[in-house]
Amino acid sequence: MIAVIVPLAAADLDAVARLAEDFSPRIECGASGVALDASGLSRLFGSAEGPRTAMSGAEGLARELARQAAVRGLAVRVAVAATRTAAALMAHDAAHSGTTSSAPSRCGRAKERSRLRSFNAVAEDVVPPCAAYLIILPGREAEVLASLPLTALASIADLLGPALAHASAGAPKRRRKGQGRHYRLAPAPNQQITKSTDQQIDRLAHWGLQTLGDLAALPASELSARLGPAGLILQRAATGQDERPLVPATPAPSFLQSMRLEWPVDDLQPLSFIVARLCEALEQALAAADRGAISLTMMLRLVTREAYVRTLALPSPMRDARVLRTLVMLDLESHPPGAAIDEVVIDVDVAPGRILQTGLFEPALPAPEALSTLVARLSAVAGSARVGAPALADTHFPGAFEIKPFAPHQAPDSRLQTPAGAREISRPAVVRDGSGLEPGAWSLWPSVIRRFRPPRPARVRGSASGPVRVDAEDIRGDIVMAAGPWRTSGGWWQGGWDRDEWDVTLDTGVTCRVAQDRATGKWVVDGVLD
Amino acid sequence: MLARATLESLLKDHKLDRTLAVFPALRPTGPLEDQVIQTRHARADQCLEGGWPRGHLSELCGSPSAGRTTLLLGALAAATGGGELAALVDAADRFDPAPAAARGVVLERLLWVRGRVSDRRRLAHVRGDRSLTQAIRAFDLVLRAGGFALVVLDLSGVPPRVIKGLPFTTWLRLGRVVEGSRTSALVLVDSPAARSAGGVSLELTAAPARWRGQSPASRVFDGPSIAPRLRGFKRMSSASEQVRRGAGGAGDR
Repeated sequence: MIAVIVPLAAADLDAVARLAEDFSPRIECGASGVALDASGLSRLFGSAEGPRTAMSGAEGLARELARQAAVRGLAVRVAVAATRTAAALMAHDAAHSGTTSSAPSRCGRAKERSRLRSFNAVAEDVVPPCAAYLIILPGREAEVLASLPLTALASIADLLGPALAHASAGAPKRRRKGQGRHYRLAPAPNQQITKSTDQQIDRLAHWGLQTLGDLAALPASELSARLGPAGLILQRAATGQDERPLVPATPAPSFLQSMRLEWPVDDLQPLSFIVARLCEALEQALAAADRGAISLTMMLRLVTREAYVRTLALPSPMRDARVLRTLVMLDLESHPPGAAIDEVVIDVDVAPGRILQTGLFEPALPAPEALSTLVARLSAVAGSARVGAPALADTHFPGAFEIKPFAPHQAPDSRLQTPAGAREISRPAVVRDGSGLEPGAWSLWPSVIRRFRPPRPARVRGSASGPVRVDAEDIRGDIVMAAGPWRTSGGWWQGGWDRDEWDVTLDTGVTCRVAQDRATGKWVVDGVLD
Repeated sequence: MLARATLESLLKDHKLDRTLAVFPALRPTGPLEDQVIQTRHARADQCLEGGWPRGHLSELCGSPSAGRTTLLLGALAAATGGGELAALVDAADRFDPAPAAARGVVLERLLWVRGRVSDRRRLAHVRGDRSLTQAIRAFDLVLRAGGFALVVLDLSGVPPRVIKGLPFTTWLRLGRVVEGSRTSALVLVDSPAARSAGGVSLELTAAPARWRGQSPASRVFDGPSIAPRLRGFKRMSSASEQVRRGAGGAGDR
């Protein structure tokens, strides 16, 4: 059994859909109304006194639908039939009858009741102020629909349109010789469906047909000879036959997993079992939807009535329960909650599964899941701010750098582009004379330095020609060779730096870089040139 | 023995020797990049017979300013430039990305784990420093994860006394982890401390730094004079290895 609910106001379609969802998960919304699969609901809505037949269940369902709609202030018409087409046609006909006056009069309802009874249909028992329902007995659809006007077929254009469009497109168009192709913009799909249905109805009306019964009475072979498959489709609709089954709308999948604990958990070890259980359920839900998590949000409700929220950004869509559990637990080890936990909620943002096309000549990289787990483990050991991929900072400050998340899968193919540094190295340093380089040429090959973080304070003795001795922690000695000073400055708008740098070789064999702050005169050892 | 020589000669005449000779098939036949990771330094690669061997734990030792970091950056550039991944566990947090990028290291493919210790005195006086343990644990984690072409543990600046204080099974365990994989594990130390049986120990001897220019204003540091020297066990070339295996096989029979 199919129940069709047609709102009198088009704006109420969403509210009617929500109403239908309260009765059955199998619903389909469209221009012809909200169709609800009532199969199996007779046990719930059947009459308590009489035998619980399918019809009594359908009547109970229709009555309850109409009552709930009236409670919610929705003006609807409900029809229940064995086929969706019959139910939709009857519901639309009742809706159009009802909308002729804003408040249906008793006369109108009596007329409608009498008409329904004349169709041997089970008419409404108690008609709510703004709702009515009716049931069409199985096998009597054609008889009930026979009195409806032919234009009623236009109300179910969304059901017939695709079949009509397919039928009309099935005939190949022949192009005559000498005629060129003509291109024009195709109408929008909905417009095309409505237009094709209206055209067929107009054609039938020109033949003098007025009701669906007239159309149903035509011989099928003659109708097919004149209208093709479209004529048969309309004739089947006039007798209440469905062109396609009900296609229930798929609800948006929810990937939220939660568990309320009977006793508060204040240790991470028992929590790991709970997280593992939630992640396994999450993996199944993600696998069923062919999705992967790209962001995982974990909300822990603490006994202090606070919500402790942690969000993990995942480098690629993943759904392996063990990986997710490991990432969550490693993050919690690094950032433990401040109190015992009452409830665990895990929600994820999803994306389509990862499709990776590897090349024959490219080295295989580890899976993103494995890298994420590795980075999480390393972060637990060294700290999240101390693990990642180094990056150059947009500054000339000596030793400046950035740490970015390690995501080699998103790195550009290094073999397709020459690294800037490699290009600079390959450029030979131009010796202009015997004693020096072309100005700036030395900077193309930056010295390899092992930097002290922070730089080590030093005492430097100098002369007119430059520094002669360095005394710092682990680095001390007389300078046997020096180059400098190289003056660098910048960042004047935020404190900045202004200093002179020297590269010096000590008598111990160590070559290091020392720098003097020009503002304070203090010396530091930046690092060892290696 | 004569009968064996006769039999081999007959097989060779009938071109059937390669069907029974299993030893050449065991020899790695891939390109050089599949067996080693180059340092991009001619003398060092010559000493290493191509580069740092994959599947073994090797060490690079030397004094400060001997050129260890220069060789390290060359190996990192070779690994990351070829599209593979590299990891650097920097126990003392001394790595500078700017010269690394200038020398061709693809920073996006380099996993950098920064240690927490930058104070040599603290390392020298605290035996079994927690930061050193953390560095070795991070090194172990990366090796066990797999998928990296080169994994480096930089212990430069850590006193040898502290390194020798580690359990003797540490390096054996790390060598076992990397054994048979395509990962080359490398430890940078001041003095020889650790390597696996198949790894190499390359020592950089002290040499005068190279300078260019006459006056301090025009003079530039032209890099360290890298003088590599292979210590202890010398890795056999493929040819000598083949000879050894052949001789061993004949003796067994």
